[in-house]
Amino acid sequence: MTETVESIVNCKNVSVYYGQKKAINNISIDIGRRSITAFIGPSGCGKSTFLRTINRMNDTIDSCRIEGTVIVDGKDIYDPSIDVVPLRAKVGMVFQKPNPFPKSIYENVAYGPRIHGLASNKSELDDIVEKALKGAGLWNEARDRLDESGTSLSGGQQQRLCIARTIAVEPQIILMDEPCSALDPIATSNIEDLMSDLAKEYTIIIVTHSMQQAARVSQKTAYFHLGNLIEYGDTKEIFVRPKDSQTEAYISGKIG
Amino acid sequence: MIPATYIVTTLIGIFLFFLGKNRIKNICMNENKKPHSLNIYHGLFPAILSIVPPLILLSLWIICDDVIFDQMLKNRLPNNLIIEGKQTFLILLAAINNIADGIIVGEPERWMMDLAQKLIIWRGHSDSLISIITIICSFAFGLYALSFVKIDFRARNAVEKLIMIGLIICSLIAIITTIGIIFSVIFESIRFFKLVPIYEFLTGLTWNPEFEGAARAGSGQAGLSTYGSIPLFVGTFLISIIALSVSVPVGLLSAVYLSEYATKKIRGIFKPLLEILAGVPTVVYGFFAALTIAPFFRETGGLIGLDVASESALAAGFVMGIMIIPFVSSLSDDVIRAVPQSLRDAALGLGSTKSETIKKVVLPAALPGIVASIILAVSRAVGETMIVVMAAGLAANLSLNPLDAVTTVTAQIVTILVGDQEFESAKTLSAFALALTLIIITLILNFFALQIVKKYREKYD
Ligand SMILES: Nc1ncnc2c1ncn2[C@@H]1O[C@H](COP(=O)(O)OP(=O)(O)OP(=O)(O)O)[C@@H](O)[C@H]1O
Ligand SMILES: [Mg+2]
Repeated sequence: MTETVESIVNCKNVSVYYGQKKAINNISIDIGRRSITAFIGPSGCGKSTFLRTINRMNDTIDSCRIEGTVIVDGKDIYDPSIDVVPLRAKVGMVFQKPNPFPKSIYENVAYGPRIHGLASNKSELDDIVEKALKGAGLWNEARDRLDESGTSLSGGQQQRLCIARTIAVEPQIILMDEPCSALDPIATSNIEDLMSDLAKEYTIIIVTHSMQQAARVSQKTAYFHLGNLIEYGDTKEIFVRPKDSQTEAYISGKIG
Repeated sequence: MIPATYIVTTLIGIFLFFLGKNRIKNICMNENKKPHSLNIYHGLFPAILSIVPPLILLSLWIICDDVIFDQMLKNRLPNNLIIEGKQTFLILLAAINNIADGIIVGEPERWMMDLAQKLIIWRGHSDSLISIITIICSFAFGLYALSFVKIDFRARNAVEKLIMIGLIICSLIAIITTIGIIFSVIFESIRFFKLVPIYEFLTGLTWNPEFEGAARAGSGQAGLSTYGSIPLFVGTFLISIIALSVSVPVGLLSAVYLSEYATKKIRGIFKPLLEILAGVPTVVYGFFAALTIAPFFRETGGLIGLDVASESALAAGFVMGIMIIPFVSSLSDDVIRAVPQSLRDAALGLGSTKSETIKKVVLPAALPGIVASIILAVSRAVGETMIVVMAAGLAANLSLNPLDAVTTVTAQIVTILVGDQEFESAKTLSAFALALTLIIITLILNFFALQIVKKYREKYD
């Protein structure tokens, strides 16, 4: 399955605990470079938790503990010598609820490049902002109102702003946790188109509750259930001929 | 008599409550329908009407009847009595009232005893009269309300309306009291400005009300006492600035520590400790400032060759700053914690370090609340009196040197009003003028601060 595509994330025997509670149970998975991988599964099965192990966002939760190895681009990211700051610049994240900073649109996008020193002067920064906004498909709507607050945009625009903000630091991987759950069908389809575009350059991992969305955008799909990885394979295969009865039940709407 | 009336009225109300409830119950049974409102509201409606208005009437009467008695006493004073000024008359009335209450000092004159006797009788009549009126009203209102109780009477809406009226009255009391205070301050200030020109008060550089006497008020002879308020306001400004430069950085940084870095356990210890600090009476800070900090500053200053007054603005401001820290830190801590976690996640997800996240995302988002906490700190500093009285001295020096002794507006008001004073004198009235100016300045400060907050709020959320 993974032979054709070079993999960028390799997880081996990963388990995640919140205090005593095991949320992820011994998962091993390889994720291909420059592709879209969808995580599906019923609510509470650990999709977000697993996604957040890939850029160590779980570090912000005190009770959270991780076992196993997660290798991103050849490096074990839980190795003590690894610094999370560059890791998170390399593995960006888009959240379920659009969360633009309460700053101007320009400042929202410029935030990442600024803290990482990606631009040496104002015009370089302008270029980065423009490129990111274009990449996120927001440039036409936002070019005349770059000074307005990011929170003044509509929900779908805000989510694209968050995507622009993420790609402005040029990550290799973008993690998206239900990025369309707060959006209407039109905004959703905008973002889906955007994802397909982005997948030419970036690796995208998306958590979604929408089977159709997973089927539309992803090349590979992973089905999670109660902290276990039940099935992982080509999206077409999974949706047409699921090997596992639980997967089939979920996809056909019997559980979840 | 009066306490009994309160109790009787309340009992009437309770009685009407059950009356109303039973009545609606019976009506329902007879007509076999459901009432618009729950039974309890049909009981509450007559109960409230039979208790609240009569008791308000009773209380108002009790407050006001003294005024009427005073008037009646005034008309019956012996004709040959010579009364000088309003003051002596008031004292006379108070003496008669005291005798009526059984407090007899020395050997009062015969006519005073007679008047006191009369007063006792009047009071008795008045009490019986108002008690009867109250109880009649209570019955009348209650029965009238009871007549409304029917199957389709909207008792719940009526009760809710009564409650709303009660709420409005409560909030009006607060507002009216404030307005009353402000107006009394304004009127007294106007009297002061008749004695001392407003121009002199606002621009004069010397504050020295001590040699007050008939000279100033009567003959218009200036020069004996001076009422230039500038030194007081400069002193207030100086001490507040010192206090703020202690409390704002320390308070803010400790808020950042508490909200962003401290573990739950440490927070659980620190926050209550800080709040205890806020509960220490200011007089304790005052003697701490006067007995510990001021001498310490003076000695340290002496070691490095600085001449520090034994009572200095620095000592008072420093201790005041310590006192304000909990206000700044506690409020800022709350607003910082109120910044949504999603913003922190967003910043961290972009590869910010923790300190970048705090500096560039969390603090800007919390700015309006932080400014609000600083405004609170400013008004505490400006209004604080005790520490200044004890540690900064009472000398109205015009100085911006923190090592000098200075005084503040509030401390000066205290010294003016402590001890015996003639109410009519310019010295006493000057306290009102100072208070008025202080109120106006704080209002202006608050206004601008709110403006700033508004501006940033538009920008940030
Ligand atoms: N901060 C936390 N502390 C303790 N337990 C948590 C925490 N976050 C998640 N969990 C638990 O871990 C399990 C997996 O949660 P997770 O959020 O990963 O589910 P999910 O698959 O993303 O669900 P959803 O589709 O509803 O977002 C759940 O049982 C949840 O209760
Ligand atoms: Mg989730």
